[in-house]
Amino acid sequence: MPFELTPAEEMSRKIAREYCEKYIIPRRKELMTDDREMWDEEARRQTRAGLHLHIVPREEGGTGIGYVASCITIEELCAAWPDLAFAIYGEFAYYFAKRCGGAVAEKYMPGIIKGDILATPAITEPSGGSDMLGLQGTAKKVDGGWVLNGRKCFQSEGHYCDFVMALFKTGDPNDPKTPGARSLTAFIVDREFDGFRVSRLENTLGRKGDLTEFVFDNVFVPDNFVVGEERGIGRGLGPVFSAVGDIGRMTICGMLNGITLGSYRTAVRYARERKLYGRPISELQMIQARIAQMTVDLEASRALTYRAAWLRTKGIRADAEQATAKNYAEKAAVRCAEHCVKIHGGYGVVEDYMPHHYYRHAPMRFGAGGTEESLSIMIANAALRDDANPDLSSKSMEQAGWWGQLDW
Amino acid sequence: MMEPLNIVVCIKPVPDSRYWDRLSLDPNTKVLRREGIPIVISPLDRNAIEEALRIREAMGGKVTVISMGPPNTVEILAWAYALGVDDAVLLTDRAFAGADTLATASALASGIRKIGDYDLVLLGNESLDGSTGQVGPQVAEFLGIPHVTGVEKIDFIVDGRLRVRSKIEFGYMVIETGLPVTLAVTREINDPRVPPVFGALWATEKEAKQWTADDVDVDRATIGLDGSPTYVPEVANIEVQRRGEVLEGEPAEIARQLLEKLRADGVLPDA
Repeated sequence: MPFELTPAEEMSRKIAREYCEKYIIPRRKELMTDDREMWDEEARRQTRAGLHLHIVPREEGGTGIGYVASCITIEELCAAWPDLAFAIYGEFAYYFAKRCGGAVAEKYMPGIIKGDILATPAITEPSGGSDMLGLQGTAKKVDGGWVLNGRKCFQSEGHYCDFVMALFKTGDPNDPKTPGARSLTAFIVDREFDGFRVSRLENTLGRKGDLTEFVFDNVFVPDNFVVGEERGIGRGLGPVFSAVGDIGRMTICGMLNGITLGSYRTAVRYARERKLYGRPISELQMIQARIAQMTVDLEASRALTYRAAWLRTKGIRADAEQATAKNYAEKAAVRCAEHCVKIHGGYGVVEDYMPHHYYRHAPMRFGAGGTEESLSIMIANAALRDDANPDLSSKSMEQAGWWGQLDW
Repeated sequence: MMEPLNIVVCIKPVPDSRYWDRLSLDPNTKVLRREGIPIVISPLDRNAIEEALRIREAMGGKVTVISMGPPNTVEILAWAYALGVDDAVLLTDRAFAGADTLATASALASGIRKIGDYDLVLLGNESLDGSTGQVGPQVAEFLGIPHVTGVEKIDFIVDGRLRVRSKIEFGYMVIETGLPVTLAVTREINDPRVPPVFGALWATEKEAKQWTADDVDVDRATIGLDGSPTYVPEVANIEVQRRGEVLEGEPAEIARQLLEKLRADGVLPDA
């Protein structure tokens, strides 16, 4: 693996950084007061600026630079403000439309490339998200399509999205005809479909109205909006897992690394400026120790993330690597946000300063893209397989089996 | 009639203001120590590029940027490519080194003549570091074309004529001129764009042309140190010392003391 970013990847960081310096950083004061207008503006601006297009091949209207550029872009956005990364939902929209093809791609793809359309997965229910076979939402076959009923919760920024990819039960996991995961099907649901609505916005550690709950009340979805159409019935887990891995987990790594990077930059700058005992606190070894630990975390977390993203850019499945990266990135972000708060002393917890916000937002990413526990299972499964070779670095889950065996 | 225009934009590399806390002056050479400080396009030159891109978007044509400097100046030309310019030229040669504004303008003008067939030359009204505001008019003189400085708005460009607004103290002048012309623009003229994401491809897939003094038709006596009639005899850091003084007493008494001191120092007129 080459241990350097390509010139185009380096340049995409500079472009993302300049975007943040123009649109986000000067408006941090508004963000600190939960001013909705800022989010409403930003919701479309990022995708209209094309910040979601790095994962889209050039022949389809994207930059084609790849997943590393995507992670870098989101890292810069979240270093500027820890949860202002709407590019993610443009990426989801592209990923869904690309995988579905047919009527779904026809309807959404032009708008997705222009940056007008956002989407999000809808998996987690009030009863939980990790145990997918325990999902309660149901889909019933009717003439020409399916009727969905259920609730999906904790979807970030769902109220800004134009459509969702929702996982519903089309069979009974205990029925031999639809065993286990064969009971699950993924559907594309447009926000204009009758019976679909955003039922509530949750106030979170991050900000007010951050997470969304969707209600599906007898929502009719035509057959050609079933992911994979007829062949996709009972094969919903594959596309959902791929999306949660490739887009969800990778972009969450970007967000977490953004918190780590933002904490690092803020702390380093402050340590050089703040004087105590007549000299900058950066000369105190206790502060230096914290800066050193933050540097190690930033470097390690980026390395894991970029490697997983690099594998995906090469077209290699990297479920275990993505899981490893996210598992590490979330701990690194929490640690670094804490260092940042502590280096700032009393100012660290005051709402008017950034350490407060990095610290508050880091836990917002614990569940998204897989909990630490479920990711640990994936990582352990990959490591403990009979043909796993501990002398080599981790192999992709495709070789390791498990989710990789589920096709589209 | 709107005809496509060939626009040349002169851009200058300046130290990135994000790192100004690391800048210092070399007491012997009187030159800024720039080691390790990244370079960026001088901010008003960003406005000039933006205006050129907007004119191209409205009328068609071609935008070429030109700069003079050491080989690492290609970094800012890459950034110009990221912004969407069609072509970029770097004048780089030891013979160009040590230039003051006049020698810089001579070199730039020779490069612009080699690019040829230009309708409009744009540049920032002054640079972030030198701030002399001389290069625009000097380039125009070397090219033998008119110039307008302090341009805050281009009203129209029609049939080879254009009308601009030039900022002056307490107002502006409206000036009409023919093409070709050199315009030195101010920050009021536009709000420069962030490079589009595709800029990451343009910046890395296009390569700036690099011309030496031999590649352009220029009198050697007018470039570099030899072509520079001015030099910097002295530069100094200005250090402002604060004078801490504590006034004591009741608020009314403190206020009276403060007024007296301000009058004594000539800050306020005598009572």
